Amino acid sequence: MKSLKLNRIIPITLILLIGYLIPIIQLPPYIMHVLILVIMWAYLSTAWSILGGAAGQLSLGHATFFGTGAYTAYFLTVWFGLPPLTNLLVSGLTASLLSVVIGYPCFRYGLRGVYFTLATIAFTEIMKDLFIYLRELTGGSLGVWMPVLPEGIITLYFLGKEAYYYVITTLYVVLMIIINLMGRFREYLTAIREDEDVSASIGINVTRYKLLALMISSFFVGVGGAYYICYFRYINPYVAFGLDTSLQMVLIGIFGGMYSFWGPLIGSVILTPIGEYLRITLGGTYVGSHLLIYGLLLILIIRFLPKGIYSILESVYSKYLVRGG
Amino acid sequence: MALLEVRNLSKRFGGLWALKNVSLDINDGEILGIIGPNGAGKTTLFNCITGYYRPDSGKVVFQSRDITGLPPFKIAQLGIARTFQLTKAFNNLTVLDNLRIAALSRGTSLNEVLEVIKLVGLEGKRNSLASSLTILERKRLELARALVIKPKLLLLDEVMAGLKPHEADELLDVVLRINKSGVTIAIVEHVMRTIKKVCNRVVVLDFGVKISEGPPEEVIRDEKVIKAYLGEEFVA
Amino acid sequence: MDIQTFIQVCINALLLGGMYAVISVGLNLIFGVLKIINFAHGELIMLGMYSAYWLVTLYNLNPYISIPIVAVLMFLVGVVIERVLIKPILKAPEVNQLLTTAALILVLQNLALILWRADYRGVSVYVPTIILGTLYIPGTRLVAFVGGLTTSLTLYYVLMKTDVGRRIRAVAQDPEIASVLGINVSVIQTLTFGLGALLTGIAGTLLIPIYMVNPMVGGTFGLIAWIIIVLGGLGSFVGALIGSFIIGFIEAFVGALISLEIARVVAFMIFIAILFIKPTGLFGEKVRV
Repeated sequence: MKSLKLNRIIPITLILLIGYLIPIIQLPPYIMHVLILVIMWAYLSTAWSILGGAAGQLSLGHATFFGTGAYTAYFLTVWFGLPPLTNLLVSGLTASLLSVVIGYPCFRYGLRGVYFTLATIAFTEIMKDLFIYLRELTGGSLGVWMPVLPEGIITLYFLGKEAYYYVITTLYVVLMIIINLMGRFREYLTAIREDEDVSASIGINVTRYKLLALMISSFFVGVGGAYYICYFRYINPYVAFGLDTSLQMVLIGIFGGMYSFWGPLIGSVILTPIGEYLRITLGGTYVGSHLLIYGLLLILIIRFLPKGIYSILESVYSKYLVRGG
Repeated sequence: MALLEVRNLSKRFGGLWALKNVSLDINDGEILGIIGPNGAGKTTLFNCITGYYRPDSGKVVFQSRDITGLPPFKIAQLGIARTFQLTKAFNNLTVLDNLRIAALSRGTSLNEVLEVIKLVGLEGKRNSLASSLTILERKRLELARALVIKPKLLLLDEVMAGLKPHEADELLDVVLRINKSGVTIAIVEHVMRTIKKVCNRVVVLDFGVKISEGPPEEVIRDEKVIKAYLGEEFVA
Repeated sequence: MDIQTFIQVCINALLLGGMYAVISVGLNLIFGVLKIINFAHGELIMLGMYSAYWLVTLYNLNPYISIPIVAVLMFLVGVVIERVLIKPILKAPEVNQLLTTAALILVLQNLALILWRADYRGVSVYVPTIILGTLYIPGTRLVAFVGGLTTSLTLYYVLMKTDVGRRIRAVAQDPEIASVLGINVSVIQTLTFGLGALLTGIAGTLLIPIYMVNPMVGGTFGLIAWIIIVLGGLGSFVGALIGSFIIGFIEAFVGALISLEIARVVAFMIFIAILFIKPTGLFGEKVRV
């Protein structure tokens, strides 16, 4: 595990630079769209992996927080006229608060393994059904549309895609920096993931750290949901609280390497463009084919390369490390 | 004032009393043996002390502080460490990483961790994955992990189980060294040889009740103890 | 609520319980023997429903006649899934198992979407509704109830009284000892999964005259099946049966008193409460977690 102790600051800065510079090339809007999706899913998946990868608590219900973030951003903008930029933060906090309400009883009662996963799925279903049911409030199964607003960073409404791209890239960089700063916290999460009883016996407050991981994870996913609706301008309960959404966050992380920092990015860089390509070419006649491929890929990866693509990189790196050393 | 005082501890599982009104002291600096036939309640006692079970009545006082019912992580923070009957470790991490994380939560320095590794005899295995260790090495790791959090009291739960006699002797040496470095030890055991070799005092449990207490030579000759073990082999 | 409505709701509850029984009993069997969490159980039911639908639509069969055919079909599907997907990961960490069956959901849902599109499809069968005074018992639901109970009881008989059933139970209890006793554990595992899938086939056929099918319906059925077997206790046959009726009653009464959609939400919330209070359920044993 320690073989790849890169100083992360350098790669992060590099990615930041490359990321910010990309739009200098005038890329067609569709490529920009794919880039935005790549970063967005890398971001969501990275946020998920704080709980699912680092802490080892497999949540298949992170859509709960995604949808909460999206709808919160909508309500704050449309009902209270609040600026979407700050709504990002508030949405994140709302999602985080919800996660405490859900998570505290879960962890306090020692819900582990499959029981925890089942609970996360059930929570998402509850949210989905609630939002469909309360249609006067939430628009029901038809969903909601963000209104047209004056362009600008405050309203997070832009006609061109470049600005949206910068926003999501910035969010992702912020997330990466924060994760990188949480060194000791991540060590505790690793311990918890490996063995909770042993962790307790060496003085780690397992419940507290799981809860913290959940709060941070859900915060960022909530912000992601708010971003989603600001960019796509539309959401409905099936997307907001769909199993597909949760699974996509998970899949990308696992494919790329869920215990690694770069895994989700690698996973998204590979999978998202493939998914989009499938959606455009086959999507008309074969709706859902990209999800089918995703599902198959996930099965294959779990079976043959459970540590994800990143593990290939890691073994190549250590081979060269051994050779060069 | 003893380091650890157990007073009238009782624990029930369904209709069965695993521990009934057990009281004992663990004195600073000693090595206390806790023995008894299978099902006597020895591990239950440990679990009650370390917070894995909540006792139905009675209390546990450590360094004059009532720790009854506190969660395991809190008790570890207060200075009581334990090993597990079936060795547990962070399997996908190296020995050093296993201990580094333990050190993190306690503020133990890297140097102190390296000392501990030397003390338990795992120097050569520092960078080996925990999953690749032999049973004896895993037990050394358990001891190391317990030591790294700088406990005042160390509870060893059948730590000799599964070891060949010469391996057990090696581990016993480590235990003695740990005790000499200032850690009080309570050890649950089946193997009489171990008990006779290391313990200053012994407590005997049977069916959840304390039936005898004293220096090993006396306790072994105690009629009640012999009766409790009747039908069981002594590994003397 | 007056007495007439009360009885009607009770009838609805019973009918629902019987249907749920056949959904959940198969899941319970798979878990009990293979100790694997099959998230895609609902999707198997969905496949069963589609199979019945196509047999009815293409060959003009009466859906109830098609039960044996769908049963065999789904059994084969189950066997294939077990050999290809499940067997290789039986010894893998639990996380990997969960993810594999979750991925299976995606695969099956979207396969159905590609093959048969998103439209809702249903079949209509003429089964007379029984009317007793102001009480009415929809024929299709009654058949599903009877069919569900019969299937469950037949399964129970098979498990308890036949040789195969004993072997299955032996493997469920302890695969190592079973293998020492000369039972081919691998074959039994494949057989059991096939059997579980067969039961979803029967369930699907009984359900298609009542509920419309589309690729996404697996989600709800699957979650309900999970709620039931967790409530009843993972691995307990009797628990699954009783759990089915408890959930049936909850849905029927909440549905009548408030609304059908909220009935589902209530069921889920009760599920979560069970997970907190007693995750082993009513009759369950401790699960390897």
